[in-house]
Amino acid sequence: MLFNSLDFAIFLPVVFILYWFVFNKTIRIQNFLIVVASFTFYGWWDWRFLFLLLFSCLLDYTMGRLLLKEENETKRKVILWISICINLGFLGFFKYYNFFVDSFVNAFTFFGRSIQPNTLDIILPLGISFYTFQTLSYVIDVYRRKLEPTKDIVSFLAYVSFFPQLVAGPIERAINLLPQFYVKRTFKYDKAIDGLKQILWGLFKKMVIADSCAQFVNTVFSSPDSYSGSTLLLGAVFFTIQIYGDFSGYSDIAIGTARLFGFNLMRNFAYPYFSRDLGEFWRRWHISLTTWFRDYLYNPLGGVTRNIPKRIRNIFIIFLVSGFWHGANWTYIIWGGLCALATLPTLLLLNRRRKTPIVAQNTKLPSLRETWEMFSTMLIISVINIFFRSVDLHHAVSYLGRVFSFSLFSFPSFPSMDKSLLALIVIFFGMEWMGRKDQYAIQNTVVKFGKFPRYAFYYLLIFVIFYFAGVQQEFIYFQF
Amino acid sequence: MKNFIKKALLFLLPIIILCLVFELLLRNIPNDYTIKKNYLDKHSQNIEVLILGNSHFYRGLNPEYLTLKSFNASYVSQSLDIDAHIFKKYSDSLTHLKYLLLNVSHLSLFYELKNSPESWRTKNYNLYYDLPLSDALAQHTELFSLKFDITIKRLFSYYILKRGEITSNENGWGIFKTLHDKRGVKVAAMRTLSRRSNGALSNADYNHYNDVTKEVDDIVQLAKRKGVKVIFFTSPLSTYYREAIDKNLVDKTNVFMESLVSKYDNCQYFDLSQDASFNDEDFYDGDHLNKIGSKKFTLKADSVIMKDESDKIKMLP
Repeated sequence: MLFNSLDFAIFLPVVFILYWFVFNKTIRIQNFLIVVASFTFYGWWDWRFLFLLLFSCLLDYTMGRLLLKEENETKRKVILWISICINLGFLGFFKYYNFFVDSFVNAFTFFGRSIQPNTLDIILPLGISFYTFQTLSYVIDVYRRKLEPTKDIVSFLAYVSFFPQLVAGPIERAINLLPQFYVKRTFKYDKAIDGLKQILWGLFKKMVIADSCAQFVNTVFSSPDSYSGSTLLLGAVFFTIQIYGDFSGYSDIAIGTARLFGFNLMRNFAYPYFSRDLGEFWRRWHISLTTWFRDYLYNPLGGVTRNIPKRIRNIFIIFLVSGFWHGANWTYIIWGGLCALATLPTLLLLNRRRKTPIVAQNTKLPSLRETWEMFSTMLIISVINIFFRSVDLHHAVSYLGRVFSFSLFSFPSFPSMDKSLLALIVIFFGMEWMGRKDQYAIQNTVVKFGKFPRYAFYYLLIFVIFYFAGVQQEFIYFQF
Repeated sequence: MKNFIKKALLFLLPIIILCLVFELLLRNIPNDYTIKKNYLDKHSQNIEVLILGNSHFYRGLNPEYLTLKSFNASYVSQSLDIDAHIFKKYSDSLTHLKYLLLNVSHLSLFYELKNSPESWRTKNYNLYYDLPLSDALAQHTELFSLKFDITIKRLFSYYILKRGEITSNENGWGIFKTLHDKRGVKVAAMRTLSRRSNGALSNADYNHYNDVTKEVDDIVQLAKRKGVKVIFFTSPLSTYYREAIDKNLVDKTNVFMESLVSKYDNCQYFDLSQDASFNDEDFYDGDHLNKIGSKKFTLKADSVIMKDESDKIKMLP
């Protein structure tokens, strides 16, 4: 079920009413409703993969229980590795099997040996990368004794399958989300209103900004040979805006929906395009994934160490794995490598922590230097993202080749682009700038208005979503 | 909690009412789908020649020039799987049907409406044809199946400017208001092709081929059981369009049609895409015939039908 669908617009109020009015007798019943609702939400796409989700839940629930009973460290380690291997095994099979087979075949062909590939017609289960990482974090935290394993299977199922964040995150840590299923949720008016506002803003980002950008981006990326370097560069920048609107919009809807049910999900985006360097960008982009890699991969590898070669190695590992996590394609691996390469100077040479955590914290507008820093950071990300968007390496290289040609200095064209999109993007970034100190752009900005202008603003936003929504596109991160 | 529900309902009420009003107003606009369905519901038992297909047939075959009692149930972007649905739905009531005319363009075997950029049109079959083509809830509404700006324009056009949306006549034939596209046949052909290369052609991949050819096979088999002859035509194309289309798709289509014709004796195929008797004057744009061209095309189709009719008489003992 898509968040931006009529199905979800009916599903959400129905579950909301049942949750607060019918199943509100005990926490256990409420949690059970969440499980049923979440499985319905997921099964709407393809019910067959519910078994995989259920298996993943039961496996890690059992592993958690076994880790609790086992005192012997070697046996605990074995239990942990069994869980990791099975979880990553499923992920590897569904997501990477064909990639590995194709890569081996290509490698053999390169060395003059021809072998018959045995690829399979595999459907990638929706959200498998997300819920696998979520269950893994549970087992690892239990192994590290940071978390008491749960005895309550219903709470655990609800934690893994919680529908607002099941398909595309935020990738929740058990430490944060699981305990919320143990305590009684009380309805808070302000929290629910806040949730609705965040959903509204998320819908605007996804349906208006991301889906409208997608039309131009798809056109340009589908035939890069037909366009000038300047148009292609613009296409890359628009893709960078599209992916932000798409994914952070999804996260906003997820977080807002969870708030309606009395849950707090972790923040996933913190205005990444207002970053002054790439280091800051990665602290603001897909926070749940970057912190996951930090806690479960980067830190165990040594993390921030004085040993510079080791630190460089760690940075490369984390970015390459992150790239590979996104998809079974060399483009994602190269993308990860380029991200590491571009971020390395910032992480090694610059002071990681800025004096102010937010750009222009005490002023309304950024300084010229800050403007340049934000602009250049976004431009670098846009160029690197060409690999993220391209279908294969050849496509990416030819796209990049045309970007850096003499036609870069020509006036760009705007195929398939609605002229109103430029104005909407300016308004969007303006709103984001005004609200950059808050969790999401319209959290407090609109509250300052009086009651009438405030409601007028919400109605206007709904009208804009209806009127300017682009052709419905699937959320980009669904493919991961 | 009650305060929240009350305020949320009060806030949403105008939006819900507006949505309902818009939905009703949109459904109230007369459309070609309803006309076609109503005709088939009421007169299917009289039809001897049924025409199904996409806009090539919708614009190209005028039942007025067919000798036998005919009806054109083809429509813009109507893919072969939908033709199959329509034929299956009415097959029992088409008691006098002798010929089924089906359109095969170079894209037909690789194209399904539901998977194309024109997929929003599936709501018309759900809503007005009672054909369950899509499970998506939005495709069972007018309001949520189309972009809102288009909805506003439609409402404004019909209710304020009093411009209707009907483009077909009582026989189901689609009428162009003018003889030629104002851009000229060549430019229109190139525009159509470039648009399709960004959408329909990229969808015209081989994934749909197996599904569509299976549907075609089903149609011919069902027709055979009903004693109906299926005549496939590739409609005439302008030279600009014909020379620019994907030859691989044309070749694969020809191979399939040859195998189909050899497999079933109630099946014929005529490729008129290169028919030299059609020139620029016959086309509205690159691939659609105008009033003059459609008369020529229909008369050709009629001669095929009448020849078959006379062959049948000769074969009588």
